Amino acid sequence: MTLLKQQENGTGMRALATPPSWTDAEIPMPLRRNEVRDYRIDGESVLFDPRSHKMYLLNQTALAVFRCCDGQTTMREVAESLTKTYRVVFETALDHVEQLVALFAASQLLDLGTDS
Amino acid sequence: MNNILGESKSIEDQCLHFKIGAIPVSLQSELPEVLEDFAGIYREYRVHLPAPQQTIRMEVRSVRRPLLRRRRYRIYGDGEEIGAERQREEVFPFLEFGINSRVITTRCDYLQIHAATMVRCGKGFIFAGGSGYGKSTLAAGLLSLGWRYLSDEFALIDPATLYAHPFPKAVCVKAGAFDIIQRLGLPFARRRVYVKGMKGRVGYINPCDVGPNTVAGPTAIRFIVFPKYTEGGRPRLYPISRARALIDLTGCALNRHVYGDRAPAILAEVVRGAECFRLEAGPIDDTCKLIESLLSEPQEGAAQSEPTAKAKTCDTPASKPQHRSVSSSRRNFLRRTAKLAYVAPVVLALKPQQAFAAGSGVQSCYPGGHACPGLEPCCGELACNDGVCTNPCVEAGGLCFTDSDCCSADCDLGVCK
Repeated sequence: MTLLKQQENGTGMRALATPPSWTDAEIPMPLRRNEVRDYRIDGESVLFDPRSHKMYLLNQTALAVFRCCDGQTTMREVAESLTKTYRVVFETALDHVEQLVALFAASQLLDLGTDS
Repeated sequence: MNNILGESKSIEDQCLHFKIGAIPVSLQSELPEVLEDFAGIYREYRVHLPAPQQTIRMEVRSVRRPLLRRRRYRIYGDGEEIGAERQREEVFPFLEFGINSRVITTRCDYLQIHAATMVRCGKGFIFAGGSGYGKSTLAAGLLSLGWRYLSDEFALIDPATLYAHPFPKAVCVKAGAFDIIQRLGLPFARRRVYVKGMKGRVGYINPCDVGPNTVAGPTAIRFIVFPKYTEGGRPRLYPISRARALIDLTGCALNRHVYGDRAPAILAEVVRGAECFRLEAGPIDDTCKLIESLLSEPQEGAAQSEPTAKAKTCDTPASKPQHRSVSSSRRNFLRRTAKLAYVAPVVLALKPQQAFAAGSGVQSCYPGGHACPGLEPCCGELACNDGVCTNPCVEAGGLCFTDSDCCSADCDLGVCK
């Protein structure tokens, strides 16, 4: 996927400047890192990465996407599930899913298999 | 010869023992006035025998150097040197500091939050933040209104019960707040002023001097407030989400490195049981009244901007409106049957700051859509427009999430038209 490849190449979040490609929607969501803790409070979620000691505040939509980072569900499926729950068109949802995956990857919350 | 405390041992031989809340402290000093001041301020907590374990052993030793015009002193905590050599008038404040630093190091049975902790009507209030955020002045103001006291510097949270435990050290007030303390009618302990290095002159308020039964026992935390003092500003309280409070509170946890990922787990339980606010503190009287008004407000999502409430008495418990209008029932029905309004995903990345480091504290920024009163910045590239953190609008061809991101108000497939 374009965004993730650029991510791995070390270009960071500048990858987001490129409008997302719609052809990669069938790619499975990367797996979230097992040790990242998830504290759900009042519909928001706080992720705690014990490796970096960073914390992330996710709203309901971002959390829904993060929870789908299971290595199996495709981006298309995640976007479709968003359209079933929320009043959002598929293209917008897919766009957001792709950008979130890139953001999670940049924050090292996903297991991209690059760690030794 | 009798010593300053009327006892027959020499000062060098003498070791005084205290149990300040749950923390046993033993003190030896070659500077008699320090023993005298400590024994006077913590007279309520003096014990005759040291605790069998977990006692913090403090010692003040004189440094004998013939070339020094004024005698200097070194402070030791459990045998370790704490800080630099001190002059006579600096010893007491740095002894207090030394005890605090030993508590941070040794008392890992409590999750420690850099906060003042007060109790009103049986409800625990945590005022969390770094140095210079006005915690102590706030604690003093609330003491003058009859609030009960747990601690000035630490909230000691028992991970098992989630209760805040008392550590009733004297409230340390900097010179800038001396006139406020006088106006509040609070007495300075020993009627003395000390010097605390770069912080300048400080005085101490012993909560036990303010009134009887001032120190509370272990208490459940019901309110978490992140104060920040603004000179000349009007006090304001902003409700913040519990998730946001969890991040800020974790940033104020002094020994979170000991707890690892248990720290946010414990604090998540604490915030789930509390209402959370950010406070822009202003004049102390108005600020204290504003805080008291929390007890009489419906708590869920309460936003209070005017210090209107009268001093709260515990005999009149806060009541929440019980009625539910027909329209709200209908709204709930619609929520169950219709799709939810879509909110663009927001991920706010924050690294909790070490709150005890000099000059730091609760480092925070407001996310998109949040009110921005001007004290703290909006996050990242967000700008404060008309009091709300918003993205600067995106020109044609730029990437967008929603129509409102674009200057043209037209976001088509992720690109502004």
